[in-house]
Amino acid sequence: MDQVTALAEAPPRRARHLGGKVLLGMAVAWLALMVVAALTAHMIVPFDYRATSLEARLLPPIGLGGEFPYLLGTDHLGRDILSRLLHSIQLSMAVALAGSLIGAGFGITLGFLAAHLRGVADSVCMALVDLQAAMPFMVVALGVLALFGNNFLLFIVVIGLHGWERYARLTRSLVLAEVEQGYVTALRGFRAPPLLIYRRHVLPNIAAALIVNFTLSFPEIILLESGLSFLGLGIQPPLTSLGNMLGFGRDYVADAWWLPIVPGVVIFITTLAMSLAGDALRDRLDSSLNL
Amino acid sequence: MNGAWMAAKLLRAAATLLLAVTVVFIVLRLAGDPAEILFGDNVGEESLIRYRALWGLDQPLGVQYLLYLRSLLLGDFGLSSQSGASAWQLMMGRLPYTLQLGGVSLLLAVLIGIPAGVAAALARGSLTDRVVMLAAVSSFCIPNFVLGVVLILVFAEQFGWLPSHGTGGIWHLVLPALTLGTGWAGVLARFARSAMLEVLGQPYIRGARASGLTEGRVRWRHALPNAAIPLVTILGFMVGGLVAGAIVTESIFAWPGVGRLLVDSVKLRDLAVVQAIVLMVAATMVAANLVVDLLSAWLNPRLHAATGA
Repeated sequence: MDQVTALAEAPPRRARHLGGKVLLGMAVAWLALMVVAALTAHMIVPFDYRATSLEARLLPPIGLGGEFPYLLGTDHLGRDILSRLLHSIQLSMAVALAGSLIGAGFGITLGFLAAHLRGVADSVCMALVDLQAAMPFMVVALGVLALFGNNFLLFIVVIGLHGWERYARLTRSLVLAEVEQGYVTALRGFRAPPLLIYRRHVLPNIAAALIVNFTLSFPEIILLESGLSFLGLGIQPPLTSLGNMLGFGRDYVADAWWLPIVPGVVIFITTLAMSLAGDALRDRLDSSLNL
Repeated sequence: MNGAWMAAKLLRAAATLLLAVTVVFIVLRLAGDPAEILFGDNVGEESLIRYRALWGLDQPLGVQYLLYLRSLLLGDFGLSSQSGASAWQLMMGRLPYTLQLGGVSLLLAVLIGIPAGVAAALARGSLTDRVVMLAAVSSFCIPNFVLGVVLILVFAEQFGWLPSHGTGGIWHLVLPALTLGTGWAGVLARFARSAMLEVLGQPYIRGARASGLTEGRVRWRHALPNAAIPLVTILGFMVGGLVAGAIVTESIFAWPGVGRLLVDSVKLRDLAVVQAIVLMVAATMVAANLVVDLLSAWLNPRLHAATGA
């Protein structure tokens, strides 16, 4: 559904319509909480996220009949859900960040190469970009996982493949426009090497647009990671991620509904908050960027 | 829509498809010797050589590529390493389920999303508008795997009204179709709203109003058909992305469609089936893009005249 959501993003919208500044403030506060949780999870968890306890299995959260040390209850192996949740947020965020950086690095490099080399290389790059843009990414990811099997590093590379085509297309078009500018002509006149011109002068000038693209693709990458982990094709135990928690929790939905609901709610609020905050950011930057 | 323009579009679609097939071929060959992947270390060198000859794997790469193209054209996607059945037939056996689920979900999305979006546009800035838009954003922010589990929890586990998995009757369709359709409805609602707003701001709408037409006639006869043009585009992409969109939903509800077959085949590393589905999805997406292009050019001749292509 990548294309569909990308198209749906196209018409200009205003966060003001959606309940205004209060909602935006709540979204930003939630995201800040997520960042803090991701950065400090290993220091603030009350329990080891892998520690099992046979006496304390499937305990509900506090307020629903649970007992004190387990704020959000326990899972089928008696592991503390809050501790697992914090570790999951940490790993999901880390994987999404690593994936985003890989995709950005690959796409931006390819975009520069296409704009610099032009001709056949440019056409081949752009044909690959079109192909990737036309393919639903979930299917591509599943194909790669089928071919090479699943391990942690490969999974991050697969996540990193997401969205490179948008960086490549954006970078190429921005670079092509930028090299027509006077300062590039001047630098060429001084016989500055192309790599230096691109890295020191062109890249900083197009960075703002690339950063906006980064904020747009980050929630998609979180959903991709969660989705694949939910299907059992992403993060594998003993590691834990939001999608992985939800996937295992699904089997206990009849006896212990909080198992899937706790990570599910976190995923939902986080993507909603990112969407609201991303809209606001784009509204603010769009006028100056003219994207 | 002239012939040359259509021919160019068709040629481009065919080229994209060929590129997809080529990429799949290269990636498959990069992954290693197919005979060794299939048999592992369990068989002797002799059997490997025999199978390489049987499948043309002892030929030069260029010849292999042509053989590969030929077998695809003949509908031969290889045999499933799990069941030994033809990958093509396995996939085709599951396709009706995906089409059934996708069709109902899409219908649901159109029936809810478009009226909601149009209503929001007509009452711009009102409470209705805000509620519809918040619901729309929420509905496509909630991932299928969260919504599906919540629906199972509420309607299957708590109330016991609906079956939570498998196929059987129309009741088995309700939860998966709601899961899949909700996100699409949200996208359609937002699209319908912005398309309608854009059309309502056009001078010809003011002209229609000035000529004394009733507001109802202006809205339904003049505004809505024009607002429908971008909606056709988005619907085309949704139909094209049906298989991919249904992967997660089919897995949650144990719905025996192509998406679930793909996930199961990936887990078992059944490459022939995965390859068949990936290529089918690529072909569907290319076809959907082509149909959307042709359809929007037909619906909106200005678009095509403006690009001059």
